[in-house]
Amino acid sequence: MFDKRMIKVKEKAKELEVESKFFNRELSWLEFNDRVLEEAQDTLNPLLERLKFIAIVSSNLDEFFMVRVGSLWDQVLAGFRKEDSSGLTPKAQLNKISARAHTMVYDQYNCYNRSLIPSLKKERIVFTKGEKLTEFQQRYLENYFNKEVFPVITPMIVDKSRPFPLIFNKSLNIALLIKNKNNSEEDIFATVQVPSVIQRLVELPSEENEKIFILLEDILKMFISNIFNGHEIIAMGCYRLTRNADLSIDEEGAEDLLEAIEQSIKLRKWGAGIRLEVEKGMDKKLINILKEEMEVKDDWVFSISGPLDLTVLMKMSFMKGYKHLKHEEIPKLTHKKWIEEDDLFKVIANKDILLHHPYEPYEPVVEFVRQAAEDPDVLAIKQTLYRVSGKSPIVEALVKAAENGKQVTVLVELKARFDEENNINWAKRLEQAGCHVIYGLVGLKIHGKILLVVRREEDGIKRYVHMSTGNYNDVTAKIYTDIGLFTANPYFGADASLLFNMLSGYSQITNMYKIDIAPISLRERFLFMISREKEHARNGKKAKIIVKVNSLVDEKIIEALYEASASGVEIELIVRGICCLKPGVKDLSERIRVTSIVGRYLEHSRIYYFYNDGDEEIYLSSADWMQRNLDRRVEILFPVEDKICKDRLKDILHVQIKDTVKARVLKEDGSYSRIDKRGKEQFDSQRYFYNAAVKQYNDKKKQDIIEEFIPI
Amino acid sequence: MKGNGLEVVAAIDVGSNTLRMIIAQITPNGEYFILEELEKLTNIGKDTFSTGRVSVVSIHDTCDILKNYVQLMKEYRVRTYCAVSTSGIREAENRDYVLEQIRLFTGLNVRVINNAEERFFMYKALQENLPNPTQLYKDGAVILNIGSGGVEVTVYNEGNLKFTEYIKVGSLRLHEILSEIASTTLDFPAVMEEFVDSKVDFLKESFRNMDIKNFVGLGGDLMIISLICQKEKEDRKFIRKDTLKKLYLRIKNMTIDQISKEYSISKSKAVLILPSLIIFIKFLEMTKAEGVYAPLISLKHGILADIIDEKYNTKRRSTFLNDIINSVRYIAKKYGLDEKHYEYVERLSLEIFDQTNRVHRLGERERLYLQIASILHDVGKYVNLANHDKHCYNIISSEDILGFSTSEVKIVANIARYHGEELPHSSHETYESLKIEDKLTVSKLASILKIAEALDISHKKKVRDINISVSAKELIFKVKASEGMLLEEWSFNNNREFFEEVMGYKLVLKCRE
Repeated sequence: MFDKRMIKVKEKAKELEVESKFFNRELSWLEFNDRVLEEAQDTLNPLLERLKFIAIVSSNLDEFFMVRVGSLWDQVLAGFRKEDSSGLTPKAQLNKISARAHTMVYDQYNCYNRSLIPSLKKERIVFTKGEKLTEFQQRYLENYFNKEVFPVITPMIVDKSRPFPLIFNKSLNIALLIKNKNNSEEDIFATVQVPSVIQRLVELPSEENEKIFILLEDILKMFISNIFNGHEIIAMGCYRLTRNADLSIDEEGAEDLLEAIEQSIKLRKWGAGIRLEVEKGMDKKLINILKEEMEVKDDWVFSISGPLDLTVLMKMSFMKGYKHLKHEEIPKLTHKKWIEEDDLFKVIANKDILLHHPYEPYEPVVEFVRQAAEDPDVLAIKQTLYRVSGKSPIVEALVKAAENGKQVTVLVELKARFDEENNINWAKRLEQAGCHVIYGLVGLKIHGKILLVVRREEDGIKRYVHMSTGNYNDVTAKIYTDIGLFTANPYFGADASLLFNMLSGYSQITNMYKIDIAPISLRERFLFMISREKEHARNGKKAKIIVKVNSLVDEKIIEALYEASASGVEIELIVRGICCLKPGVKDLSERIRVTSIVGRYLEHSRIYYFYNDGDEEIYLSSADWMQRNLDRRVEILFPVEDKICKDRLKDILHVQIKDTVKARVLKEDGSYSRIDKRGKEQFDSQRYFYNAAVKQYNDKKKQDIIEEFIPI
Repeated sequence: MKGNGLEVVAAIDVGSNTLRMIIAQITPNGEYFILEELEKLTNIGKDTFSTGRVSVVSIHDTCDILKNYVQLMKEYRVRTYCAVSTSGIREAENRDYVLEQIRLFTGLNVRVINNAEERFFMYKALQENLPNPTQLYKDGAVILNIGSGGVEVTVYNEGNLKFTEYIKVGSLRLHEILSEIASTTLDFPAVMEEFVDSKVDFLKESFRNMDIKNFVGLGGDLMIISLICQKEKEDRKFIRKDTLKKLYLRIKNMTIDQISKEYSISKSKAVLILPSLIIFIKFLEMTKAEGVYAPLISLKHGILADIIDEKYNTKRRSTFLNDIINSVRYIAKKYGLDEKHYEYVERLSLEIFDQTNRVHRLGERERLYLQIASILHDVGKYVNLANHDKHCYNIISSEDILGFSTSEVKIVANIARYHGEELPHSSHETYESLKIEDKLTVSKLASILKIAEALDISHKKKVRDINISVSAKELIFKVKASEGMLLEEWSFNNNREFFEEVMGYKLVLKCRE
C-alpha cells in the first residue's frame, strides 16, 4: 500500500516538474515582505507601529536588492542559465522579481499616501514640503539651511571636463537640469547628494500638540537655487541608487579576515547599479541621463510617489510621547524578581531554565555573564558572538571578566551581514582587554549561539551552559522572539567544551553527546528524525512533526518532508519567512500545513518537535532549514530534556498553531491568505504571550507589595 | 579556594599521528571525571618514518597545538601533568632538539617513553575499560595495539600475562614504507597483506599452542573503524569478525578520496584504515576469537591512570606489579632458564633485601629491579656459558620490560650482569655510562644478588630459612639448611667482600642443619 503511495508521489513529482515541486525562494521572500506590508496596512495596529512596519518593508527591500538581486545579476552576467529548483533561470527570476517588487512598492506608497499620512494628520502630525509655512518657520528653515546644510553639500556639475560623480550605494541625491547660458540647445546636468551626516527628518517649530516635519531633501529643494545663483533650474528631482553588495570575499587570498572585511566594506560602495528609484514626475530627460549613467534598465527603475527611502519613518515611530499610538512595552522584571534568587549559578544548578524572549526578560542572560565575570570561582567564560548591540553589556561583562583574570574565549563572527564595522570595533576591544578572540572560520560563519562558564565548586569543576536560538544581543532581544536554555547538565557542559575546542582549532571534530552541529551532522540528524517519523507512520503509528523556523529552503529536507507526508506523518510548519515547500498538494504534501506569523515581534525562534512514537523529542536550534545554515555555517541543535521546559515548548508551539489573527496560511499557489476564522475564536498568539507576561509581572509584583494597596 | 582535595590534572600524548590531551578531575579516592578530551593530527610520524627526522614545519605545528593545550590547562589551573611521546619522536634523529624546542616554546616537558612503558600505560587504561578483564585474561586474550609506528601484541592465558611483542608494522609505517610500490601494483592490499604476513609469521606457533578466545583492539584507527561499523548497527565496543572482513572487502578497492568521503574522515586518517584492517584481520585469524573488543581508549587514558596511581597509590598499582613480573617470567621461559633455580634465587634475594632495609635504604622500585635481575640473571648462558655475564647484559637490555623506561632496563641488566664473579668496574662501559646514583643502586643490588646466588650455588635449594640480624658493624646470616652447606659457605665467603665494601657491614654466615 505504501509502495503504491510512493509511486503516486513520484508520479506527482514528475507531473509537477513542469512547474516544479518547489517555490522560488526570492518570490517567496517577496511574499514575506508583503506580509510585513500588511502589518503596515492593518489599521488595528497602532499608528506609529505601522510606520515602523512600512520602514521595515523598505529596509528589507534594500537588502534584498543589494544581496539577492545582486547575486542573480552576477549569475546572469556570468552567463549562468541553469534553472533553479523552482524551474526558473536567473533571468526569469529577475523578471518575476521586478514585476512583484513593482506592485509591492506601489502598494507600499498607496498605504503611505492614502492611509498613513491622513491618519497622521488626524493626530496633528504633518509632513510639509515647504508649503503653507508661517514666516517664522520659513526663516527657521532658511537659517537651518545656511548654517547646517549648506556647509556640507557639494553640488556636482557634469560636463565634458567633469565626469559623472560616484553615487554612493543607497544615498539620496537630487538631480538637476540647469539652463546653459552659452548653449541653449544643451542643458547642464548637476547632482547633489542629500547629506547623510544630517538628520533627514527635520522638525519645524510649531504649536503645541502639533508636529510638523520636513524632509532634508525638501529643504534642499527649497533653497537649492541659492547655490546655482543666477542659473535657471529647469527641472529637479530626487533619486536613489541601490548597488550590488553581494559580499563574497576571496578567503583563499585573504590571510587576515579582519583586513579582508574592512576592504570589502569599502568595496560595497562601488558595486554595479541594481535599482534606481526616482521621484514620481521627474523630468524624462533627467531620468534618461540617470538610467544611462547608472546603467540601469527600465525594469529596475522605480518611480516613487512619495519620499524615497521610507526607512526614515523608523525614527518617527520612536518619537517621544504619543503613547496611544504605540504598543505597550512589556513591563520589565529584574532577574531577581523573576527568578527569586540572587545567585544564578545556584538556580541553574538546580534545574534547567528556559527563557522565552521578549516575553521573559533577557536580563538573566546579561546578568549571568556579569556574575560569571565577578565570581571568584569562575575559571573560564567562552562564548560565540554574532551580532551584538552597540553598547553591548555582554561585551562589557566579558571585558570585565578578562580584567578579573578569567580565561575568556570569544568566537566572533565578523561577517554577520552589514554589521561588520560594528563587529570589528568591539572585537578589537575584547582583544585589548586580554580576551582570546577568534575571528570566524574560513568558509564557515559561526551562527550557533552558545555560552559556557567553567566554575570550580565544592564538589569539583562544574560547567554552565546557555544556548539560544537568538544572538547575544540585548537590543534585538526586545523585538525578536527567541528561546534560550540555561543548563548545568554535565553532558551539555562536555559538549560545549568540545565545541569550543573544535571551533578554536584546539581539537578536531568528534562526536558529541547531545548537541549536533552544522555542517557536520545537522542535516543528517534532521533527515534521520524525519525518516524515523516516516517509519512510525508506515507502521501504522501516530506520527507528527511540528517545526517552527524562519525559512524553509533546503531541498533535501523538503523532499524528506514530502515523503513523510505521503507516508502519513502529520506535519505542521510555522515558517515566518521564505518557504519553498508547496503545501497541500495532493499525493505530495497533503498532510503538510504551512503558516506564517508576522506580528509586532519578529518571530525568530527555531523549534523542532517530533512525536517519535510517544517518546517526544523537542529541539532548539540556531539553524533554519536552509542550505546556508546546514552547509556553510556553524549551527547548533540541542534537545530540551527537562520535563517542565519541554512542556513549555510544546505549549508555545500549540499557541502559535492556534493563531488566527497574525497567522497566514500558505496556499498551493504560493500566496498567503488569512486563516478561515469560521467557528474559531479570534486568537493572537503574540498577544497571548504578551498578556501572560504582563500577568506574571503583576503576580510577582503583588507578592512584593503586601502592605500597600495599589488600585489596578 | 573551593574544591579541596579535588585536583585537575592533564595527560598529554604527543603521538606519531595525533596529539591528544585529557584534562580530568580526580577525587581523593582516585576516581576521575574527564573534563576535556582533545585530538589534533600531526605529521611527526610521517616525517620520522619516511626521512628519519621531524621537519621544522611539523615541530612548529606541534608547538602551536601544544601551546593551545597549555592554554586550556591554564584555564583549569592544572598543576600536575604528564606529557609523553612515542615512536614518532623517539625514533627521530633530531629528537633532543624537538623536545627542547617544545620545552622552550610551550613550557611542557615531554618525556620520551619506550614500547614497554607505552604498553604499561595501555594496560592501566584497559583495566578500567574492559568488561570483566580478569575473566577475559583467564579465558585467554590477545591485546593488539596498532599504533602508527608499530604493533604491540600481548597475550594473556590462564589469567597471566604470557608474552608481549613489538612488531614494526604500524599502520602509518606500513603505509609509508610501501607507498613507493603502491603505484606499481593494482592490488596494493595484497602486497600489504603479504608484508604483514612476513612480519607476524614468527608468532603463529605460539598462538597455535594457546587457546585464545578474546581479542582486544586498541589504537586510534580502531576508533574510526568502530565508528564506521557502528553505522552498520554494530555495537561500538565489540566488532564481529565478519563485519571487519566485510568492511575490508568494501574499502579494499576504494581510493583514499572515496574512503574519506564515504565515511567523512580526514584523508590522513583514511589512509590508515586499510593497513589497520589488514593487521587486525591477520591477527584475528590466528585466534579463536569471534570479534574485537574495542574499549576505545588510547594512551592518554593510560597516562591519566598512571598519574592517579602515582598520586593516590591505588589498588590497581599492585595488580600491575604482578603483570610486570609475569612478563619477565615469560622472557625467562623464552630463554629456557632453570625455573626452579631462578625462583629460588629470587626468593632469597628478596628475603635478604627485605631484612636489610636499614642497611641499603632502597625503595620499592629498586626491589623490583632486584627481583627482575634475579629472575633473569642466568639469561646470558643462553648464548654461551663463557662470558655469560656480558651476554646477560646484552640480552636484558634489548628486552622490553613492561612499564620500564630504557634507563631502568639498563639498571636491571647491570645488576644481573654482576650476579657472578665479575665486579662493577670503570672499564665496563655499560656500567660507566650510568648516572652516579644508578651506579650505587646497581652495586648494592648486585651485591645482594651475588649473596643469594652464592647461597644456591649448587642449585640444590638447601636453604630453608634465613634470619639476618643487624648489629652496629655486622650482618649475621643465620641459615637453616636441609643438608651440608660447604660449597655455599665457600661461595658466600668469596662474594662477601663486595657486599662488605658496598654496604660497609661485615658479613657472618652461621649455618644450622
